Amino acid sequence: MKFYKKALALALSTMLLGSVMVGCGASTSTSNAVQGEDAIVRMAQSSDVISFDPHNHNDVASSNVTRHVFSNLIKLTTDGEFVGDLAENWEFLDELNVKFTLKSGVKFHNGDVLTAEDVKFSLERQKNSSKVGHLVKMIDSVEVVDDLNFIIHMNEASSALISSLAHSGGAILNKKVVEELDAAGKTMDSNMVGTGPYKFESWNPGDSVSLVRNDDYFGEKPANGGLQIRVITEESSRTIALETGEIDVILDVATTDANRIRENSELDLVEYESTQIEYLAMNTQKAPFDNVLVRQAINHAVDKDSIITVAVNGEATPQTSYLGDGAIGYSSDVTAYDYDLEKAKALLAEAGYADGFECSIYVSSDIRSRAAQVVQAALSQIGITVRIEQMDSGVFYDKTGSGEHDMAVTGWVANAEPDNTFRPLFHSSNVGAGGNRTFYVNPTVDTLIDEAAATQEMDKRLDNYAEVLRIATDDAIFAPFYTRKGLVAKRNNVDGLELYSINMHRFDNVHFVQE
Amino acid sequence: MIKYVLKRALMLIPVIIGVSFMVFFIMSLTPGDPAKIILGDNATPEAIESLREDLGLNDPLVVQYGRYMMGLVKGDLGESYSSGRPVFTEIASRFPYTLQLTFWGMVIAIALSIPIGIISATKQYSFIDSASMIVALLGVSIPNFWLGLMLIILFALNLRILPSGGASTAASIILPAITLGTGCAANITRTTRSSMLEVIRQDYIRTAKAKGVPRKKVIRKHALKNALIPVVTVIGLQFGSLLGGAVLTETVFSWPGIGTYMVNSIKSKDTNAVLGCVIIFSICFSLVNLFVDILYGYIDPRIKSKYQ
Repeated sequence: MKFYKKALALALSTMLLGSVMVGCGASTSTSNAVQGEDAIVRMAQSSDVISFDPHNHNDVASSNVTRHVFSNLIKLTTDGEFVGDLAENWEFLDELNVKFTLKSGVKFHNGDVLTAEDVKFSLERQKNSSKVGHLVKMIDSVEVVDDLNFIIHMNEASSALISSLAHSGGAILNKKVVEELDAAGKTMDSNMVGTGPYKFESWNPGDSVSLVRNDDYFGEKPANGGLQIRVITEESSRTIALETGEIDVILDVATTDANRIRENSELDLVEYESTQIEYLAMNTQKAPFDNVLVRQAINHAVDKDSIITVAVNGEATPQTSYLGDGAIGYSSDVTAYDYDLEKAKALLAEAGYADGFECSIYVSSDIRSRAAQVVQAALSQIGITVRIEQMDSGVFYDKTGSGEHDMAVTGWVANAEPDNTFRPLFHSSNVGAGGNRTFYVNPTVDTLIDEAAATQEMDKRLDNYAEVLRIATDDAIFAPFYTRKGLVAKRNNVDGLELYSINMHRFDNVHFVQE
Repeated sequence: MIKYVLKRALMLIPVIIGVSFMVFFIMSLTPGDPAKIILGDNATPEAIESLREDLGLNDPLVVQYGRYMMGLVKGDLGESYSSGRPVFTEIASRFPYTLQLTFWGMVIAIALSIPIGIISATKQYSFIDSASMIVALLGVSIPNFWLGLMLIILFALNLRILPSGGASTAASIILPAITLGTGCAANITRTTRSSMLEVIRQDYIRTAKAKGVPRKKVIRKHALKNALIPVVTVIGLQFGSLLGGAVLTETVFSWPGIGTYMVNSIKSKDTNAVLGCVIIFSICFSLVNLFVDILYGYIDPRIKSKYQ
């Protein structure tokens, strides 16, 4: 009897202790009880927020949150146009000075009124950031004229100013609040005070972030009551959570799950244009890749369709140009190298490598390794023996930055400013770790990029960029593979997602429709 | 007994120094510059250089280690390279989840394994014995992440009675705890069975039976108490290692514990966060072992008598 009493006591104390520990977790309902315009939209993404400080991160997961809490001076529309957000208007006084006027009566979440001092403080703080400071390095100083007017003085003419101000790193902070936090050595973790459509509610590290609608928002009010953004790292777990209805939208869809989502009548798979491109970069300063004929031969040996099937389960579109088709500055008016091993062989022979040669391809992920294997198989048929070397991304960037590689499978995601793409990828000043991992040096290309950066005329810029792409594809410095489809999945009663090719999605208009 | 506890507690110091030294230097040997990883592919060389300077990465390794250990003495685990938050805060916010999952996993494991172990030992070669050993073998062999996914498909997707992941409701713990518990249960069952088998063949058990003590009492009072010593060791070890985070289970169920945090930190080469996790882990492991050792004193009179 004594034994049973002991056992009972143990069981009871276990239950008690356990229930206390369950209390550690925040308790929210799994079913979406509230309907209509106050409904909370539950979303899932693959990684956690790194920082709530817009100046302390430059990643998609964090900016999905901060973009909705803070506002910028300028925002990008889904049509690719830059319009005023906090800025009522702006005007170029000359090529180095821009005068801005703020919208009046904009309030921060704590009730403070936004002034030009907040803007000056925010931009100067951003300049000192190691993560997003480079975006505003053209800003020399900010001169406050009065509460609503200020002038940005630049140290060099730059077309990138406007787009940089729309980047989530250009968020406008509350000077008073942030100065106090900085002085106290505190982070913005539970103290995000912005002017955006949502107010910060709670953060459970590794689990979820909750935002609630800001009813005093200066712009159009959000169509939902708030956002709950959950972290679900595992791909299939994300899809299952959408299937069970625990989640309304998933932002990172695994290509292997795409068909399963398409076949489910309760779910929708939304595809959007992406600025991401994957390609094989060749080291143009290393023999035999210093020979343009060799590089062209390799271009002809790349079977894009097979690579798409093997690497990303078919969820991509083949690409002949050097940018994702959603990128600003994209042009498809370039030399297209079709998959033709005979032509490749002939070019190799012409280059003096009829018997082929040995070389290696560096990769840093499984997807890229699978793509490299397809290339390896094709190249073996024209006498080139390829060794695939997979490494950690840190090592990969080190080695390809110092030019150790023959070839490397890598990629690029363009943002709203084409100079941020063309300069690192093709300009000779960025050879190596700067982003030009083909070590491509071409003075004509340099001039075209520099000219484009110095003018505000969009047509002139686009002409120059198209010319850069044409010259570079003739020189065959890359062998482009594909543009990955942007994939977002949602329950079919969800509507109003605004998806951007540069991943600056907006969720203000997401709402539930009657089925 | 107090002397014994103190002696074991002091042993923590060389353990922490040893562990931190090894992890610190191994992390520094792995290629890749943390500053570059933090800033990403678009960073300018000047930004990388200034971040290296901020993080103190340009100092000799020994200086970096010394600085780290000085901080550790003051309870400062440094700041996470990727988020800039104190590592201690990051770990503290996740540790309760890992503790909670470990606790419930162990409760399930013990509740399953000890009765099964005892029954299969006392009824050796019976149907129950074979059946439970097969189940235990399966339990050891089935990968946790697979079992987790199967449970999600059954209970979350098909039956829709439990959440598929996260930690937002009290019911969220059920599936991960079962996943974790069954894996551990298998080991404990096998240990309980073999230890019981050894004990019930001892002379004093035969004597007890001969005296006419009821069978149940023999098992419970004479056999089980003696058979528990190796079982407690196994439970302690399992508990200790689970506190380091059940990485796969946590990942499948999006459980915001320390395991997923450590893996993400390793991926982003966040040396401070990895070091912090490993140090906390080694402290927990040592503490659990200390606790198990103290428990021995109560279970095993031979050990108790040594220190009296």
